[in-house]
Amino acid sequence: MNRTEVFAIIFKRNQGAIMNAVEGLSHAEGLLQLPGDSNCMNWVLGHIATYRDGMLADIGIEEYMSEEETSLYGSGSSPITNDSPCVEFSRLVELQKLTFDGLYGWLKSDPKDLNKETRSDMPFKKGYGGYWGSVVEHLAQMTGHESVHVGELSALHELAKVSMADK
Amino acid sequence: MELSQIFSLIFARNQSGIEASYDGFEHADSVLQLPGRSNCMNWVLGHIAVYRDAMLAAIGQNTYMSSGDSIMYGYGSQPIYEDSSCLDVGRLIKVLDGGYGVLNEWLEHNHLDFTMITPGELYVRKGDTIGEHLAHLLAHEAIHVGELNALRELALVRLGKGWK
Repeated sequence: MNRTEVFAIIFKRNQGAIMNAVEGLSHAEGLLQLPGDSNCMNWVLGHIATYRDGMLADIGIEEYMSEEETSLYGSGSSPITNDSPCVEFSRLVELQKLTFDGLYGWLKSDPKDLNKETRSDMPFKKGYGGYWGSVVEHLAQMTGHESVHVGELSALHELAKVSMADK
Repeated sequence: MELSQIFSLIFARNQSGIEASYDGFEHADSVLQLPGRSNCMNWVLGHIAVYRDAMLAAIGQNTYMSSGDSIMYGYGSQPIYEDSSCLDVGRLIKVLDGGYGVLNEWLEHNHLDFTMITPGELYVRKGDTIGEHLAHLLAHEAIHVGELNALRELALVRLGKGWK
């Protein structure tokens, strides 16, 4: 058991839960709101993808999100509601797959540069790209962060099921 | 950054999320229900406690939850409603604090061997080595911690402190 194996286990668990949460849902269901100051599924998915793309940036492999997309889903971004600008649900689902494949594939390739410094030339803010001192620190901080947001999806999935049953 | 530091960091994030979720609430707030088949806060906290015990047992430490508690909050257990039998939220918080303290102290020791074989007689066994077992259970715990966010918002709305 080494550090990359731990990150791979966590990402794989997260990805499984994400794909369960989005299964069978449409764009409209991704905008349903729970009581209080919770975020909708669209925001949570975009937030997860943004922070994953920040990890890909620091690792130095292919990234998938534009500045326009990431600006909607960063830390402190506005809630997304029915009339907000947002990324299409199907694109967000695609981003979950692309970013997972990038991160998981890299982790399973037995990378030797886990301790390398993060980027100092990020062209725009993307998650925590370029923020932490090293790639391993970035992954350690953000895998747990991601899992917590993945947990938020289960109640949103239930909400969507209730909404669909009512139609 | 060593493996033990990675586990400590994720574990601290989880505990912080747990403590933030119930701050200012009473037992009655912990059994409020979201739409659909989500679990209430009481069940989620108890479930986390049962699985923390599985981490404690794996490293040879004392556990907190009884076998009856494990049945009440384990995988596949019944939902907890207002009129269900359940542990008081104050008790669950003490269990979670205690388990966190022990696990955190263990992780802070130097020269931990994460390749040790995970004992066989556990409530749940998620990997052949202690490192794998902890990685799975910490990720499982973090996902349940995430479920607490919406439940806290629900309780705030009930208390008249929510914005919707």
